[in-house]
Amino acid sequence: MWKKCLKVFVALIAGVAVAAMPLFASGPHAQEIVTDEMLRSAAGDPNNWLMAPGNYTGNRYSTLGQINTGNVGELVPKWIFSLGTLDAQNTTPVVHNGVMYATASHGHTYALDAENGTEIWRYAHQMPEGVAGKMCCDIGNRGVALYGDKVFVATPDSHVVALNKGTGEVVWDVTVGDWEKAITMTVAPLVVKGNVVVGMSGAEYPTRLYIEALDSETGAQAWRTYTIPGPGEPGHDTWGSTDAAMHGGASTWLTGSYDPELDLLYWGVGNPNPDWDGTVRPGDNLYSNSTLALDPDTGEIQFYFQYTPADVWDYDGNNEPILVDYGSEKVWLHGDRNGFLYKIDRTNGRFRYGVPISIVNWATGFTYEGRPIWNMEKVPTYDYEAKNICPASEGGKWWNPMTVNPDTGWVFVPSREICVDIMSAPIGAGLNPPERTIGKPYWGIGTVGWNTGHGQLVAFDGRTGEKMWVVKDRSPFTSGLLSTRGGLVFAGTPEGEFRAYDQDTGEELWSFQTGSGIFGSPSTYTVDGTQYIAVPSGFGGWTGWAHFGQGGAPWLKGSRKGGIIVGFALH
Amino acid sequence: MPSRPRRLEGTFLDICDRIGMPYLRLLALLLFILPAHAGIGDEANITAAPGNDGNPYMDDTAAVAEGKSLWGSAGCYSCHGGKAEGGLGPSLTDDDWVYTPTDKTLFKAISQGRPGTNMVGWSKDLSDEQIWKLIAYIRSLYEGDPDKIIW
Repeated sequence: MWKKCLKVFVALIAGVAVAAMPLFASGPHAQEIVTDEMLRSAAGDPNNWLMAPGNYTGNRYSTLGQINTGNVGELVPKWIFSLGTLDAQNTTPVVHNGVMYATASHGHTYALDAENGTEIWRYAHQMPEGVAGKMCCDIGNRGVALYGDKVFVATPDSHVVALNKGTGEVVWDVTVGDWEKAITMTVAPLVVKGNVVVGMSGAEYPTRLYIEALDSETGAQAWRTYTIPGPGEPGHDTWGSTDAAMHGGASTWLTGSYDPELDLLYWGVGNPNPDWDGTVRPGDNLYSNSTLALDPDTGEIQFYFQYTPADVWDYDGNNEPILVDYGSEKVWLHGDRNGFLYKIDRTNGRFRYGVPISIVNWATGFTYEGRPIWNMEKVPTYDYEAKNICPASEGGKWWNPMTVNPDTGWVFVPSREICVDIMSAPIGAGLNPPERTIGKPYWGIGTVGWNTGHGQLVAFDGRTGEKMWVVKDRSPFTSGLLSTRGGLVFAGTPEGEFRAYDQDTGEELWSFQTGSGIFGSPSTYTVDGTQYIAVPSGFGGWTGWAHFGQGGAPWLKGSRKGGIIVGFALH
Repeated sequence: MPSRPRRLEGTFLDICDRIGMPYLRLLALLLFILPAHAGIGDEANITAAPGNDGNPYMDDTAAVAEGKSLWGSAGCYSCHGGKAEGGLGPSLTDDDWVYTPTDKTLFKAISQGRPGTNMVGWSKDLSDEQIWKLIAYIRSLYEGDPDKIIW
């Protein structure tokens, strides 16, 4: 009898060993390193999605065409991964060799099998109690960066953490900002030439923010560039006073782009603080609402383009610059929250065009240099409520990234047409604190109310700025976009619909209800030759635009929260 | 300041009519006094409370005004909206609540926060008195079903 038992036991052990072997032999290669060369050529490597914006141009385009306009109707969910948290799920899933690395809200990071959604490891960053109270816009995170044998993640309490790519163990953990002063992080880092580049959130509070680069091996600071010039530096005098400048916000919470040939790093800068009151910071408020071109080795600013000087609408110009070549013309495309799509020469920062994405009435046009010409009826003051300013603070185009198909040069923009009534207020009045206080919100606001509008997806020929098609929807498009060589553009809504559109016509070809609003960004990759598309779902972020006042989209009240990633493939 | 919605008709007074005040007093006594001594949970006496269950500033016009000012200065508006209409955080003006919205529940939520959500505790920033004034202000904004008022 015991011999029989032994035989069964041995067979079991052998069986388990054989079954487990493929896991080690041909399963996800979590240990393999990511090199500079791989990052530079990421646009030509459709099997992986090596950084949150897809590749250094930031175009969120994939050359995969297995899933295409002809068969997208057969796209079905293959797996669902629970992120284990609610609130803003803003990540873009990053994929290398069949392993997906994704962040969740509330400081969580996961590695999972990109073929079936099985967890490989997790990192739950231990956060100080109270950090969510210092974040204007939810405790979300936009994704990881990969380099060498490490995964890099920025945390709400302003740590940058390097994790072992294979195990999720902490290699280093450094603090780059003081969360108690409302300097927090939601950014997906970008690794450039061995440095981990990150940006900061916190311009709804009196802060002075920056872009920082850390040595990927050690976490040691390589450089820090403040986005507001200090005393004596050029541009410092664009704030009216040193006091205003040193508390002027100018956040950097969206991932930039990198041009290896020009060796320039492009990074967006957000709104000045206080958001809606310009009287306390008279001047252009450099470098708020700009894209900076930086030397990636030193952080030195080479040139810039400012979209909204002297902002009194919270047009938070953080949004991504996407690097595109039109023949010999090297430009970046940028959809701004101020409602305009811009084309800017990326060799020198010169304005090429600005065309409206949505209804725009705060500006009547541009000067030759690209400076917007104000419509004074739409400028709120302490005693004048400017009615129906278009667009509201979220655009135009909100922060969710657009996508560019470099083959056609077309750009697809997640958009909305929602307008707002604003009256500003001095410190001690309206909703402002009695005095400016570090760590307390300061919006410069008297009253604000959003007016009900609608969403839209807009395609442009990026070369000329010509609008090619518009698809309207009840709600704003709140996901980042993905375009592919399969002729598709993928977009998500706050009502949970994940959709595929025909790039040529805007025709909706496929849709899937993910269960909660989509506020993150999709990515695509292959495992063993099969194309997958992954999208996070989970309502959240600063959604005051939906409800405050009349409400830009009042039907979103009470939207169910969630926290999943869905992996799709053809049936 | 908006007048406090009348809430007794159809609820408390009806019960008085039906079972008589003496019985009700006895019930109130049992629910208020006994738990305090027997260590029964607070919720029992809160739900039975005929008035508000602890807010010393309820309907106090000056306190409501101060609560409104705190709403701005403490930054409540940044999540819940300029008039508590809801945004990142839930609306506080309707009758849609996660937990039974007694004064004590609101006090605890503001003071200690709600674990697992964005609502952190504000006890380091706000005194108990200030929290009660904020609650008085929040109550003054109520636009929900008057029959659902239990505070």
